[in-house]
Amino acid sequence: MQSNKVSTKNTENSNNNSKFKKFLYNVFVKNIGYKLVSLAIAIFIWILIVGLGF
Amino acid sequence: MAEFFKGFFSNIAGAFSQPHLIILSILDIVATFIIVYALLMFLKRNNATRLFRYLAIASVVAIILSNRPQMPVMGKLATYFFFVVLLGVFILYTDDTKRILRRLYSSKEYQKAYNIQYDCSEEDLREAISDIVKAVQSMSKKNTGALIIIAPDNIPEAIIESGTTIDANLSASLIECLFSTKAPLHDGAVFIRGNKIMAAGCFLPLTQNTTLDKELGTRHRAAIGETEQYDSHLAIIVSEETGVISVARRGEIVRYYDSVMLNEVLEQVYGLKGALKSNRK
Repeated sequence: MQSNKVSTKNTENSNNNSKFKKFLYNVFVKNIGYKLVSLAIAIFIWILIVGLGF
Repeated sequence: MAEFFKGFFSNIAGAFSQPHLIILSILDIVATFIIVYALLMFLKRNNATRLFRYLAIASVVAIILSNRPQMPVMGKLATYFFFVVLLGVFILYTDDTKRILRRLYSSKEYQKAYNIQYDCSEEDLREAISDIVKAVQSMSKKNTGALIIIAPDNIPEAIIESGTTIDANLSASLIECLFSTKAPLHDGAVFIRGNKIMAAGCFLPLTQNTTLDKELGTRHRAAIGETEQYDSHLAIIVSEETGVISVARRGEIVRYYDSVMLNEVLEQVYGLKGALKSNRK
């Protein structure tokens, strides 16, 4: 009974871990080039708008 | 000129002069980043990243000119031009825009559709599933092309009207009969809801996805097009050339299905208990 409980918890933990890893991958690795270009454009537009005094 | 730059940089420094302004500035940049990234990915999916250049140029010109009181006409024109180009992108890719908007409000709708109550018993549904699997397997062996759409919720009227309404109890032999190459209705899709064949010979919208494998013919493209538009629908395709069974769901196609896999996916779509449990694991 006890071992069953432990194994279920382990499975849940590993599922959560893989979900977390997938989340990290989606945020920091996937399409990184596009993300960097978007960030550069966002900062450029922000500087332009704030600098020009809108 | 020197005064312009002095003002420019003092404005930027002003945005970082107080702690709450720093937080707001960072939030501002993050929000802009999300919008730019979403637009870039939208254009990338449509193989239209070249359009992004024009949008970026139009936005920079609009920002610079709209701040020039000496050039009011050009400023207004540039601003309007930017919005017109942006609007044009969404009109040009209407199907994708519609799909994204539909997903925004119905991300969980298809799951609700799978838990729909049918007018028949669970036993009837299991029998219907076994009939579908049997018919698909048989057509696969004979290399008979088939396109079956399982629609748990409402079927759009326009699609039903493009074919012939049947509303008959489902059976393996009836499905095979409808796709028999000599039958007049074999060329379109058959719509199934619960244990009923609702319509046959229906015409479906083709997908505009240009990245698909060239091996996939019109039947597969119609299945993908239909499931792109209706998240709850599941399409089963039997290739006429190879007899390969494929399943399309939410715009994605998976090939080489066997009877066990087909049974499983159908149980899931029909919201039968066993399948729901296995899906939650």
